[in-house]
Amino acid sequence: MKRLLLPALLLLVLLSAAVSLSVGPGGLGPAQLLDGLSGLESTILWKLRLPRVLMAILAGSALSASGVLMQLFFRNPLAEPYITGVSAGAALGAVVATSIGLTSSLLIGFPALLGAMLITLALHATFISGRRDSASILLMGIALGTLCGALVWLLLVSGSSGGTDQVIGWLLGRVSTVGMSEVLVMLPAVLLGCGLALHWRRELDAMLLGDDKAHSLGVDIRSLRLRLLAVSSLLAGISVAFCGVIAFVGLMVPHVARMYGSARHAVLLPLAMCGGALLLLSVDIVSRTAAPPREIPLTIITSLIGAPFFLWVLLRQREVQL
Amino acid sequence: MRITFISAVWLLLLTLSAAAAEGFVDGTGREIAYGQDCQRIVSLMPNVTEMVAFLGYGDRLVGKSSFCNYPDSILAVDDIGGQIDASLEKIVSLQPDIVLAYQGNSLELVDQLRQLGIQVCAFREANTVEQIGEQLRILDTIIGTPGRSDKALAPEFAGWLVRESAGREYHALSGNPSCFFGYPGELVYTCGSTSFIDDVMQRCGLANAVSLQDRWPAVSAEFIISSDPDWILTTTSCTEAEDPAEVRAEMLAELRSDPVFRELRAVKQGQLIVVNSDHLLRPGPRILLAIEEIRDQLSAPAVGAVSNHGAASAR
Repeated sequence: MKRLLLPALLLLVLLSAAVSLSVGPGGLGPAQLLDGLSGLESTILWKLRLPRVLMAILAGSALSASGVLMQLFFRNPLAEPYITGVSAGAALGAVVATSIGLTSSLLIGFPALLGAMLITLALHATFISGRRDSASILLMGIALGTLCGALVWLLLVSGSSGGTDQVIGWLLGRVSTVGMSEVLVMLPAVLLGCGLALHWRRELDAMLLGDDKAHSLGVDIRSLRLRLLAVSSLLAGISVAFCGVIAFVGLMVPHVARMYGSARHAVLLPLAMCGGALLLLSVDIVSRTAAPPREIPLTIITSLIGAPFFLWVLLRQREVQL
Repeated sequence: MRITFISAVWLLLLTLSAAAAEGFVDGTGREIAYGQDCQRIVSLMPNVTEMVAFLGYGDRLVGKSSFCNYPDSILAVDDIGGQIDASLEKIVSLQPDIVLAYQGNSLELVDQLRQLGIQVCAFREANTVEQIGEQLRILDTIIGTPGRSDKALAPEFAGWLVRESAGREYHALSGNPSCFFGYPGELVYTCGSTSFIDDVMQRCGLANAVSLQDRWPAVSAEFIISSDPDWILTTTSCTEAEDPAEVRAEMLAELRSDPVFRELRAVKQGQLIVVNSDHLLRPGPRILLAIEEIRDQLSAPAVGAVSNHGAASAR
């Protein structure tokens, strides 16, 4: 049964992508897709819907894979881009970018990625300074995240940030503002990050046994931890940079994949990536069809679905384990 | 007579300057050509929708934001979403000749629309009532027909230009009373000296109690109390059908239940001006109605003063 999970998820991702391409307020439905497209319909399909479908797949996969890696790194099932401060660092980068007049999501994306990376560097520094227990690094992430959050709100409240609505939209998560140029930047980063994580799957499995046992199995724990942090931050940072802050995907999907799949990373990572893609695709469909033409920000939906679901999972399983 | 002459000269100069210039440089630095005779217009802000309708082009609107609620004739126009949840796909599907944006709209959205080859004209927020009039004129020049005759001008528009160019209609009240604009809340936003509401106050003979340069600063309880204004200017979403006196009385009761506002001398003395929020907060043609509402209330008796013990008593 578990063997069928991945093919089933892949099929659902493809189906959701097809649905996502054929719904929206622009009046382009399945009938028009089959009958042939006018110039306007081509624009809607190829320039608006396709990039957001691809971005939802890429960001969902990246956030989930990042969650898997962060939870392993911190040895804590609650670790994810929010808790570790990576999202807040990216948010600060984005708000500073709008304060200096940058407007396109591609231009805002890079300062956001820089913000995420700076938080990662600080966590690295904590690790190198000798405080290597996961609790210290997690607390450091929480403190840095809170600091970045305060600075974001300071800029928003003081009116220094040019487009407040734009920043709020970004803070609530969306894939509607991306074009193919953002997808083309995102794609190699996600392929690289997820590819490396899969390549390290045996070392990651060994790490589940504990640092000492992994070390005795020949794993260079220190190097692996640094690599883990770098890749998980790249995946989370690039997603936050282009799609804004999307809650719960990095927390919920890896946990569910572990419950219904396997803790072995050769299985867990692909499951989490497909699960994340499916979740974000579905959420994006709901976002634009629930109250058209308005688009409900993604984090509102992921939180509305994710929080009760996660509580249910927690109540069903008394003890959360990696 | 003199005022009419000055107005005529001003109108002539405006017309000549519009004819001489090739286009308008919008708030994002993009040059927008004049005389486009746009037949399909999407407006992303309520004040812009009101401007378009005021100029007589309401029937050319094919899309509007979810907050556009005036005039009634545009209510059936397709909705494109709000400030943070506008649908790019919906706007594109409407095939607009021009999308009209205003400061506060997402610049990211503006960029995306331009990347898709859709023309966007984005206005900066006006600092004065006169600038609102100027924006009306520019909008008319952009979306209107080149060289159209004056008969096509909405009579209100012509009247507006005359009023705005002539004397600027600033009133003087004895003692130059101070006024604080705001509404009780967790975070009280007021208007600074560079906002158009500051100019509205001046036109009504009031001095803004807030001299901060920021347009819409958030201020603390201590700041509000120390400003000690003679008048409070606030807004209501109540409809025009409701009795203004009742609306003021209700608002005064609300302010008197607020721990900060009830300490103000203006609230104790019932020196309260309540204006329709859509009239005052939208930098569009109905700002003139807000000015009239303020002037009317300044000349009306206060709604009710309270004794030092806080008990309400009719004046």
